[in-house]
Amino acid sequence: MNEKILLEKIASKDEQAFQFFVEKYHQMVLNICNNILNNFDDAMDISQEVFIKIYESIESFRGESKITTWLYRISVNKSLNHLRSKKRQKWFSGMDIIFNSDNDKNIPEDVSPKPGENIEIEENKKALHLALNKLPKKQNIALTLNNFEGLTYKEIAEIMEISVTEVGVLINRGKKKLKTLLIDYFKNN
Amino acid sequence: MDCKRVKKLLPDFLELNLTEDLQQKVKTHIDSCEYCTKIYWNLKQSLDLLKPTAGIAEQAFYYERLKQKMENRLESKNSLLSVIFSKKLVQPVIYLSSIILAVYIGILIGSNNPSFTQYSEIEADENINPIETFAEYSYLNDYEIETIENLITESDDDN
Ligand SMILES: [Zn+2]
Repeated sequence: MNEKILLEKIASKDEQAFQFFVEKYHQMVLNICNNILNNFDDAMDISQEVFIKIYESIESFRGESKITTWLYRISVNKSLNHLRSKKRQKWFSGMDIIFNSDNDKNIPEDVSPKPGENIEIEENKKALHLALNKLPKKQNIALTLNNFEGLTYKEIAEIMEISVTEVGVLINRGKKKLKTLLIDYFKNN
Repeated sequence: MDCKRVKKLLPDFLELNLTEDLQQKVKTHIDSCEYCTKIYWNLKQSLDLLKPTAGIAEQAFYYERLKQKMENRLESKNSLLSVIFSKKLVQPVIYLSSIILAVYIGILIGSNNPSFTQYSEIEADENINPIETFAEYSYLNDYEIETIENLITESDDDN
């Protein structure tokens, strides 16, 4: 189906068209969210929010950029918002500890290796995600989109609504900082 | 070359950004230092993970789950809206506000309409005999503001 027609149909709340769209793009959206959130359950949840947002606001899609660019942008924004609210939650659960209340909700992210998986690779994966999350947000996003998603600088520039030069700067600085953070991590572990 | 300096040069060493001389010196140190070898390999392997991955596979029933979520959300939204806009809430509010409006209009008319001020002319009319006026209103005795029950009990007491 032609993409333009598909979007028009979704805008007129055609359920079949929406289902087609979701089935075509859910894997992509799920992976973007997971690469930022590094947590499957959260990625599932936030990716659904992305599609709900698309369904509710498809009229505002002007068709100036590719639909995938739009999907990337919404996915990145939703994931970042989720990380922010999670940080707030952590702060409140920190208060819970102070006030000595039940704290079962504060389950740490599942980073322990699953049986049969290479422990060393899992350890390195964990280190990488910890380091990425310590980077300034924009550097993190640019690196994630460039490396995990394999997007070009031009595509990233469109998604982040910045210039290609700025993307280059973000990626270079990000990579440098990332290496320093990783070395610090391995030095101490 | 010591470990601290190698650690500092390691990122550039990985990118082959150092001069040939420095590149060689770092390599010599890593080869002879277990501690730096460990850091070097871990760093290299972590950076190797920075590449497009197959990641999460397609999910069965993804759309069905999404649809369920949307329906649930719509339901809870509707139930909230229906409470707000239900007759139960809206009707009393409309009734109450129309009563308040009516009373308010009544007060407005009462304070402005000259025909209502005629009642005060009783005092203004000099021809009216004050005794007659008293007689006219004299039935307004204490009993008038007593309850019937009180009247009955008092008359019982008299007997
Ligand atoms: Zn060393």
